Amino acid sequence: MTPAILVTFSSRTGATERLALAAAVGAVQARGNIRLRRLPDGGQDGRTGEISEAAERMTKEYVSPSGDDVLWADGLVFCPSTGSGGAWTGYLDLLGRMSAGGKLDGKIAAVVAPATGSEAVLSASILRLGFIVLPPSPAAPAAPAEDAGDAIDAIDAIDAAQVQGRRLAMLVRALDGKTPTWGEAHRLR
Amino acid sequence: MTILIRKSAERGYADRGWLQSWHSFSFGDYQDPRHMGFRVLRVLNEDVIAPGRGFGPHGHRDMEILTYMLAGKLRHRDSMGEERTLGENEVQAMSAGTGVVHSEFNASAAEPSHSVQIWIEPASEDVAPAYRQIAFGSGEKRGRLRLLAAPHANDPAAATIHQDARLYVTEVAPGDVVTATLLPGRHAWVQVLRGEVLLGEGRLGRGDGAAISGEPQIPIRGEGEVLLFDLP
Repeated sequence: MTPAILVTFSSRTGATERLALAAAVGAVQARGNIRLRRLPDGGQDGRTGEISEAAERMTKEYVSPSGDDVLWADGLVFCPSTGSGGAWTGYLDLLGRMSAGGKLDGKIAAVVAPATGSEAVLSASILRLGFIVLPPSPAAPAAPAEDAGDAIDAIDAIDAAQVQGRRLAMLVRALDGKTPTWGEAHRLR
Repeated sequence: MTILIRKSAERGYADRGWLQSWHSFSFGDYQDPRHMGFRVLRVLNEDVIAPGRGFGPHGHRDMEILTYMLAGKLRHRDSMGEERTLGENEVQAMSAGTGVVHSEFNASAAEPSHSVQIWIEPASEDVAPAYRQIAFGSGEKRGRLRLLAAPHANDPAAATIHQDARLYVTEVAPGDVVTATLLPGRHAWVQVLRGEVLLGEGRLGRGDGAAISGEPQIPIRGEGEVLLFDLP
């Protein structure tokens, strides 16, 4: 099977976009098909308050994730930027409705995020949606915050995102659609 | 000369509103088992992209991807950190290798872009991803074959690709004869970008392609611009 990996991110300056791209490259390295989606979050630069050139470009280049994207995906990567909680509300609501309808059963999720607690917050939300969650590698370094700008180019953070994308696609392939559903688990009493 | 002509009008066609694309070989929703490529040439698409529009970030693996501009400019960004604009008389060669994510957008907000995208199967998998962009003077393709891409190209004026294939461009005028020489066992694909040319007895118009085998010499006459692939 060819793993279908949906990478969704929020980014105002383009910094978290680089992490998302790295995760997507990792999935492609593991011979996955990818879709990259961005959540609109106003695009204001954290330091200047102005709409950044990067945000204008990203608004043009990316579309928002849809329910069809989620259905298509075997694995989902979440890349939240610092302080972007509001941008994720609508998407998490969509996932919540899909989860209630059993549409996320068996899908695997991973979080790649700057090191400001957004990873933990989003991971907790994802856990409640019923995904099988792939934790970060124990050796993965924490990525700097979105507002750290170019610092997010740190090779280690980019590498860690790439490894996580690769790992997710490899896991999807290894399981080959055999992930247990909640229904199956409930029947095993 | 053994020539199999692929007429322009018989190519696959896709219209997405912002994109008009003609496929010489099976691609996307256009699938025809009779046209899956020629030798190691797998994709040959002619794309017209609306102003400001383009292909959002998407992934490639194990493919040599070349883009040649006919008109306008394309803006390229990729996961290797390359941000470049490609214009006329330039060729872009990207080795996807172990994996690349890139986007391509028409750099103009006013004019459509017109380009040809080519995918060549690499000789080996898992090469390191790479990006090259070559520019040349318009006079360099007039009345001669201008090498655009080759394996292990030592010439900085040509892009290196990971396949034993060569891509040339030529522009012929009335009275010109540009002759390509093929070594034994080699094959050629000719794609007419503009005008009308003669290949032996075969007449090719804009958008037509031709597969040629078993011919040591390919004389190109007429008036137009042509891509020529020398293939294993």
